[in-house]
Amino acid sequence: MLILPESQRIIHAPTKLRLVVIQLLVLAPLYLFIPLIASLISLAPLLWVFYCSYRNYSPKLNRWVLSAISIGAAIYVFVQFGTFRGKEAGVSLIVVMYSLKILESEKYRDLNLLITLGFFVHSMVFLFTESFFVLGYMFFAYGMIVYHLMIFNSVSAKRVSWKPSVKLLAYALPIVIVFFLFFPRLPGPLWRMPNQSLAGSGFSDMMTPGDINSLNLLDEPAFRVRFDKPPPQSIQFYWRGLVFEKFDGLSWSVSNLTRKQPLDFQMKSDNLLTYSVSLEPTQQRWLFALNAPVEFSEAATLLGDMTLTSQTRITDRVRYQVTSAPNVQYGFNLPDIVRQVNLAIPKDSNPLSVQWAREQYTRFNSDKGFIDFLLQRINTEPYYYTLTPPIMRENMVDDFWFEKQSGFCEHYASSVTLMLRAVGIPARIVVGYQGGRYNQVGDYFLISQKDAHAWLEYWSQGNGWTRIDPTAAIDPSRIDESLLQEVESRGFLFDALPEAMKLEIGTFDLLEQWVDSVNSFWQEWVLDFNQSRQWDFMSFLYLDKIPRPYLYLIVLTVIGFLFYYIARKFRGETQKLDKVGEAYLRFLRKLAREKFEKKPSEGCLSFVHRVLETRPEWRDKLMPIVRDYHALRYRESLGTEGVVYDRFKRNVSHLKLDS
Amino acid sequence: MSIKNAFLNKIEVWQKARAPRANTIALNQKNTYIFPTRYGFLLLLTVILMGVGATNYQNNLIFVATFLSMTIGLLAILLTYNNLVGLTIACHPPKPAFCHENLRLSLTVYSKKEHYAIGVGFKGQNIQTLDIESESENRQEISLPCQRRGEFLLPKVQCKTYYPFGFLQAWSWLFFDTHYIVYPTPIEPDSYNANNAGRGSENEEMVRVGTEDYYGLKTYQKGDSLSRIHWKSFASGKGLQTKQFVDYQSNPYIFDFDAFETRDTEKRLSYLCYLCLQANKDNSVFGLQLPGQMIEPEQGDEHLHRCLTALAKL
Repeated sequence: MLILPESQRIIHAPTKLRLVVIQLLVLAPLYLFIPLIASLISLAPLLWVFYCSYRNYSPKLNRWVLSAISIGAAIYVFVQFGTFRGKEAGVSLIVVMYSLKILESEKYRDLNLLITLGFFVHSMVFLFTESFFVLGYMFFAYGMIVYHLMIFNSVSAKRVSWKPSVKLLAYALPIVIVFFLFFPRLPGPLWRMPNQSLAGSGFSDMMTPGDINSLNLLDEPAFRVRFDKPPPQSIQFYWRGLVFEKFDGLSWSVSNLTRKQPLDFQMKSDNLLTYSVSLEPTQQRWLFALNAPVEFSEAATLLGDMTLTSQTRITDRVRYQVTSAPNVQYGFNLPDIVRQVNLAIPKDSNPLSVQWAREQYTRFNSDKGFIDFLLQRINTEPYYYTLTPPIMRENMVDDFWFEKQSGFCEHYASSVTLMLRAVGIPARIVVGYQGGRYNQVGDYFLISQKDAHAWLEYWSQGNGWTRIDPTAAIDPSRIDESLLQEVESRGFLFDALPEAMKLEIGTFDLLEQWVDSVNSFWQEWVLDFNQSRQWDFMSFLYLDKIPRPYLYLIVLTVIGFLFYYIARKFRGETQKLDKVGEAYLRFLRKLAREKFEKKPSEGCLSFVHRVLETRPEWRDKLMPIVRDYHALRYRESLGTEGVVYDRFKRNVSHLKLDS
Repeated sequence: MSIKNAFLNKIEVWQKARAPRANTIALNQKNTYIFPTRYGFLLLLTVILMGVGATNYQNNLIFVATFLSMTIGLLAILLTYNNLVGLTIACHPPKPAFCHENLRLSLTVYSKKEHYAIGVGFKGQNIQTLDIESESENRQEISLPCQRRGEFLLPKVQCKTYYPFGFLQAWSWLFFDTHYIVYPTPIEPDSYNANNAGRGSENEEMVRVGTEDYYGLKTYQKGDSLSRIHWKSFASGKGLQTKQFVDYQSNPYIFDFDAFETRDTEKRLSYLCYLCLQANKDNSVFGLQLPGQMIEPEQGDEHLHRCLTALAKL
């Protein structure tokens, strides 16, 4: 078949249809993430080509019409997003232009261009999703690209099998894994990309309890924690995130002033817990840890309010290591500025509660007694725990404490904190997560968004800061039934739940654990893999001792061997010879040593005849072998193969050709 | 320009040193070259782009996509190379062509394994692409326009493949140890000076070995046709005798180089070529009178070839 020079080759209709199929495959997952109208604009030219081929039209458009459509599409994208920068706008533009290109693709070079760019265009889907299944789809799409490349480069499409492309991807996989694990990575982006943020979680740096009349318990993972050794049963999982010290009467917020104050602590025992946290992106800088973090990764900083902060915003999953000392006491010396902030109540804020607290305090005259009284009141009076509290008035604590008496952790924590401050006890709110579900399959604790919690700490002379969780004081009978399971895991201050209400781990839970485990593995080893994980991995393999250049030499060698192996596999010429073939090959080699090479076009007999023309004296030696070979190869079964083969083999081995 | 030419010459010398002339050439590491096509470079660019994107977004799945594209590109090197290496290409002696026509060269391509989309062709000419079945002889004819008459060594033949992905081209230059002959273009002469046409003497009877009339017997020689063996004399114990036939031709044509008005050598050769062809078509006996050489009148295709070759080489 005559193949024209590439510049003259025209894409014929069937080829164009295949190309459109490839474009559809490449673009399909992207349509889920760009605006519907952009998807429709992108689909239109592809469907137009289909329609034209069905109607036998030429899908070619007038050059001016095509230019107008392209400019129109670009304008649409600009109007939709107000910019071409940014992820959505950029991807939409590329998607639209990529599919419009088919309308002016007449030559083979357009085809090659479109299909090679397909690799790039398809990979953009991972800007929007990190799903395992989309990765699987990518392999399928790349396989189809490869298969169609083979078709486009072949003489006839019919002769191209899909098997080599499957084989190719199968062989590519180990190489991709090696590259993934060992290819040198940079620690961070080369430059910041616009619009990188994803929607963060519901955890915020400000707390206004009265405003909220419903809290969504998201069942999304917040972070996962793996302990070096099993934590003691007694440990309570209060994952400290932020401390709110400033109160303006409505909202609680972080006090930047006190955070900068020095922090002192004193260990009671050396019962240390070491664990690693892999945190989902929050778009914020705070990190979560158990009290009190004494050792932690370099990227973290310990602040004066005993919280950890990261130097950069958490825009991707991060992993950090913390060692906590749960029995540590901290903040013995309360700087004046901190004391002031933690006693501050805005003027005229919640006058009823302030008044009430001061009156009650006089009955006890001890901090401990007053605190116990407050908790006792929450337990015995009709205080309810609900995620759908009524909206409360300006003086939220007054409204909550005396009137509504139902709310969630933030209401309880802010009420108690305010009343402690009212009687001169420094107190502040701590938010973070509480609890965590143990995953047996993956041996880690999963902390979800719904575990978000708020509690408080108060300061006392000699003891420093002490935690109180007023929510735990609520009587279990007054907790929304839907919340029982969540709250139960936190434990209660006063009453234990009836045994019957505790749920056993069922099969479904186990399945759920498996799913989360797989997810966690996926995140840990695929999505979270970065330069530091790469180094961890190398040190796990004891490769970190090897100097870098040698290491890369080793890796390149490994990849080289993989390629060599694959090359052999693909060559497919390592034919398996049967025993007759092997003996025959030996026979040919013996003749070759005497400078008689069998030509590819020659049969056995014609070759031997040629040999005999120059060496007629070998007739008696060679002819029996030829006869036996023919008998073994071409004659119908006579039941004497064994005998014939033995003789054939013996003759070959005893063959001596003296020149 | 001369530097470029010198450079190209050097390359050709180097290529030739790596590929000695032969009529059957096996493609191996030594004579096979591979280089990316522009789509290969495009893929490289794409991979770099994806790598930068993956780094900037710290997106590991884009890294997977990048590495997969890269691996496909790297494996393409192996596959493209494998698709060419292992071929054995034999060249059949080409039939002579006329000047300004195409020389048609028949190649036999053989391999133990299957190959796809193997292109063969003379440098700068159309490439003929064929699939190679394993263990069988695949024939392909390629053509070369002939601009000048004469006898030439076959120019290098390119054997090339882009398969499977078009990201790379693997090629080999085949230097066949074969000559080909280009006859002059046949042109009908306006006038042929019959007076000058050197006829043999009118009365002399030309006796040529031929097929028409029985002439006598001669002793059998290797190569004589079996159908002409005189079996009767063999039976009577006189050994193998062959019957001899002759053609009688009273007036053989002798075409003379100098018998044309034009002084243009090429034109004269073209005229002579035409006359020879016509004479052969008419089954006439003819000869050639060329400057410095004389071809005795004879008859038949082989004789024609001899005459036209003489014209080509003049």
